Amino acid sequence: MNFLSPWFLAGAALIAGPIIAHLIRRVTRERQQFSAMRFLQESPPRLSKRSRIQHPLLLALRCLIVAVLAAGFARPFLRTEIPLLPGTGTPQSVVVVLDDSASMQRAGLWPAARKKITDLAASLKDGDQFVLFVASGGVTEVISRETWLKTAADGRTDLVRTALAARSPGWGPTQLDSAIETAVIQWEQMAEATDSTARKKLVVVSDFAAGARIAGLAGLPWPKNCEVALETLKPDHVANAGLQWLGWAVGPEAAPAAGVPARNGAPPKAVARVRVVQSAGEIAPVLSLQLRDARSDRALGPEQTLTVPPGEAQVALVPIPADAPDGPLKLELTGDTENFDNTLWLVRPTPREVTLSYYGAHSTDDLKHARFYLERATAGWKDPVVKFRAMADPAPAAVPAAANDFAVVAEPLAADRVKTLRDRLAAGGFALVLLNEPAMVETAAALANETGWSSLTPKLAGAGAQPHALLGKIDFQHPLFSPFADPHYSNFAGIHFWSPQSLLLPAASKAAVVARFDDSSPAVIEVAVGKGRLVVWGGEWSTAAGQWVTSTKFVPWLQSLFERSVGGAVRPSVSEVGDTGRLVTGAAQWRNALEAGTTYVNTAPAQPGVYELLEEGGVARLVALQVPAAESNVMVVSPDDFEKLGVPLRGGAGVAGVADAGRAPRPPPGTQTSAVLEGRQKLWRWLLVAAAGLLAIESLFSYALARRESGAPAPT
Amino acid sequence: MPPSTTPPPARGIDPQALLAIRDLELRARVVVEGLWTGLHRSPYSGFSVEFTEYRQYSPGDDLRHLDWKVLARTDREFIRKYEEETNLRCLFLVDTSRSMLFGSHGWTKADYARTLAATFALFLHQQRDVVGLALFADGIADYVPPRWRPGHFRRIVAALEREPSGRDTNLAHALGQAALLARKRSLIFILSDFLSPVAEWEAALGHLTAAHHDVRVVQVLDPAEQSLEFGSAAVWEDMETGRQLYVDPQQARAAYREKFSAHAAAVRAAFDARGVAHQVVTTNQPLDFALLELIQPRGAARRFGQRRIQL
Repeated sequence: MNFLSPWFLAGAALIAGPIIAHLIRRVTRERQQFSAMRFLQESPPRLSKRSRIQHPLLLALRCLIVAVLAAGFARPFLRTEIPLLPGTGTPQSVVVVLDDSASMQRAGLWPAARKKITDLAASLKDGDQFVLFVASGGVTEVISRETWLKTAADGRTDLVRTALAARSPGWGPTQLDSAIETAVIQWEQMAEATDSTARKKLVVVSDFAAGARIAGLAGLPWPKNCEVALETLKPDHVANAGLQWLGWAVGPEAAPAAGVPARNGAPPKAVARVRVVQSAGEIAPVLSLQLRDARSDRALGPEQTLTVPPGEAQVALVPIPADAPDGPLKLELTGDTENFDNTLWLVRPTPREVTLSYYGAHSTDDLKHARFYLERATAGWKDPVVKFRAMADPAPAAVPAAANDFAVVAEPLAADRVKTLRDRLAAGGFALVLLNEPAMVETAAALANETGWSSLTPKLAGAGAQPHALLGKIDFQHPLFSPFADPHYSNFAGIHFWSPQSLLLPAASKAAVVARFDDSSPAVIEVAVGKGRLVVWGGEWSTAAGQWVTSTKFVPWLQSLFERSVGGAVRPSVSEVGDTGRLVTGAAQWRNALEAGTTYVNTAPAQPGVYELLEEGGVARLVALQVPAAESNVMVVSPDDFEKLGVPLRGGAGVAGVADAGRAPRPPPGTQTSAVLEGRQKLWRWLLVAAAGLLAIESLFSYALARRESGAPAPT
Repeated sequence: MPPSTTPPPARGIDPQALLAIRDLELRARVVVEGLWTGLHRSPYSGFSVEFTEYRQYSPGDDLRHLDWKVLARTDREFIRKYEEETNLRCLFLVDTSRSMLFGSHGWTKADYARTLAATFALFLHQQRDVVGLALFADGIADYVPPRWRPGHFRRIVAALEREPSGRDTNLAHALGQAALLARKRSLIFILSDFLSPVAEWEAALGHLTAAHHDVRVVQVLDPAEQSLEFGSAAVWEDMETGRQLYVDPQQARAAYREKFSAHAAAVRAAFDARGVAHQVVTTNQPLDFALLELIQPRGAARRFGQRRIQL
């Protein structure tokens, strides 16, 4: 019999209550009042053989009730239901997950982790199996089961020691859930390959910082006969201060009048917003921030001093001085004992530029052609910034190819100009052809480098009023129309086209029809030409040709068209290690902007810093990778959180955790499993029922005694 | 077989049945009714009050005293003249101290004494005698002056029915106060257990008798107080002082009886020395017998110290 809350057994001391009551009652009851006491003398006390305690059976009953209640509150359970782990002769399968996230960079953690794992490996028997994973963002197998089994028994400890010596903590986030899940899968494979009765042990070696992701552990199918041991590492310094990137200040915060100091009278280029986080603990509250040039390490601007009390955070505004270089910057935090999260890399996003080449001899005030509307619709854009260039007069060969060339063809082109434009398209340019007359079909076909395209005039409906065509079928999956995919914005039926033009595409055409008129003739098509793309719009863009240019969908559609020409929608330039999905979706090439020669192709860098990111079909841009902000939160996750997620925790011999400072004392080994056992058995319910029964018996018994003493017949 | 000349054994009213009656006045009337039936043959020349004479009505007289029957018969107005007071003033001194609350039969000495006082008061009241009442413990706590008027008996009963609030008995003080209150020569009945030392009250009693009052004492005792055939080995507590002793009655009985007898003898001697009629009644005694004993030898006891009322 074991107890989950044995301190409640102290309540059994209340047994003294009934005993004292039985002693006291005897004295108090036997009193006699008399009038002629004057004539009485005190009698010498007689020796009585009878016990001083009245009604010993009743007293025993009452003591038993108290004892049963105390035992019930102590929540007893029977240990015998625990599946006893096999003895030392039974092989065991040990999977070790080593956290090598950024927070493990703290002093004292990594050597402790290496020693702990090496000791664990040394304690294993010959028939035991051992697998070592490291987890930081992704999961990497350091020592596989096969490697372990191939190694001679006396060399296995060295194998582990060597493998760990070659590694150092990374910079990624702590994603313990995916690491444990991978380990469990591996474990099941081990179990299938070996004796299924083998003792299964999963050891997680980590600092269990509060920023660790463990939510994915919920609902994880745990195999039977397993146990999870949490090995908490203790760092040299409990406290930590960190820097977190919030973004560039906008609005009043960016203005010099808002308190941001201007240097030498010149307003700052920009203002960076960062958050300085202090963990709870003994730590100096005074910290300082210094902005530096990331390339030359030159200090920029004065040092900024902050006072952040422990356990709190403070947002700081860091102005970028006017004389700061345009290249990458870094912000350093000093005054903290743990340096892994004390540097922020800053990259100011540079707006993308698009050169809009308009092919058409139309004046800028001509309301009947697209130039008038294009110039006005694209004016003032922040990203991409559109530079308009008329292509009517200059000779095509004399025009230099722009970095991001976007051509709008509004009149039939000569063959040489078509060739020049097609070459630009093949090199990665973007072109839009407006079918404002049937002759434009030839130009479009020539640009698409296809044949067999013919002109087609869509049927107009609404003959009674002004006849018009509508956009009937739109592919909202296509990037051109995806901004309108939401049903709130997908209604194009209100836009009338009074002079639409369409074309008849041959069956062999590679053109994709993005939208069709209501008579099913193509309205918008897109053709890939080399690395570039050609979009053909069926009709002129003018108020005389239809309502398209005056509709609310015109400018958003143009925005998506131009963003598509420069590589897609605006992307952030700052992210965290292990979270590069925000920066780039497809294949890309990363080049370290600070260290020449370090290039990552199709794989994201694992270190914080400034990188030049070149996406396929896009332009190169500078991005910054920071240490994950969650890693700065070094408070320790409670084992209770794991238990709530269903992790079968067990602190067995040899896997006892190291209690961390500032953390609640770890429950004694076996407590978690004991709670589960107790929860299953629920012996306390039976004890409470027994106490209630005893209470009823006691009531009847004492009632009968009282009746007997008072002379009344006891109830039968 | 000649008829037996032996009178049937006297059977009084069972005290248990009598004291089961909650209403003190009704209790008194039950006893007094039986008492009158027993007395109707007695040549008892009472001291009751009748009218003394007629006198001619003169304007201004109270018409309540006009004899209407004489007026109807003779057509003359006569006013009935009464004696202003009877020839007997009677004052009851009833002990209400804590010791009177002792009772081993289900009723207390106080119950018995109150019933006795009420019964005798009713008896005298019906004889038009002037009756007063004083309740005492450590002094006179409640006093109803001797009067005869309609409803006076109810005042006496109401005073007797009040719960006693006294604790200790100070008989000397109470008797001293009674001597001050009873200015006229009176018949004074003292109902108490007289358990306090004789020396404490002996002198005060002497003052009363010296004032020519007809003092008669009814010493109300519980049978258990006389014999100590009562209780078990326990902590016994004095009802008045709260003093506690461990007493085993079996062991203490002999010494107790000896001391109690000595006390009773001292009490009796004190009363005899002052010519005070003294009667001991126990609470298991029929009440009407006690009453008869009190009233019958009245004529013989006119002279103080001549005889003692006996049961």
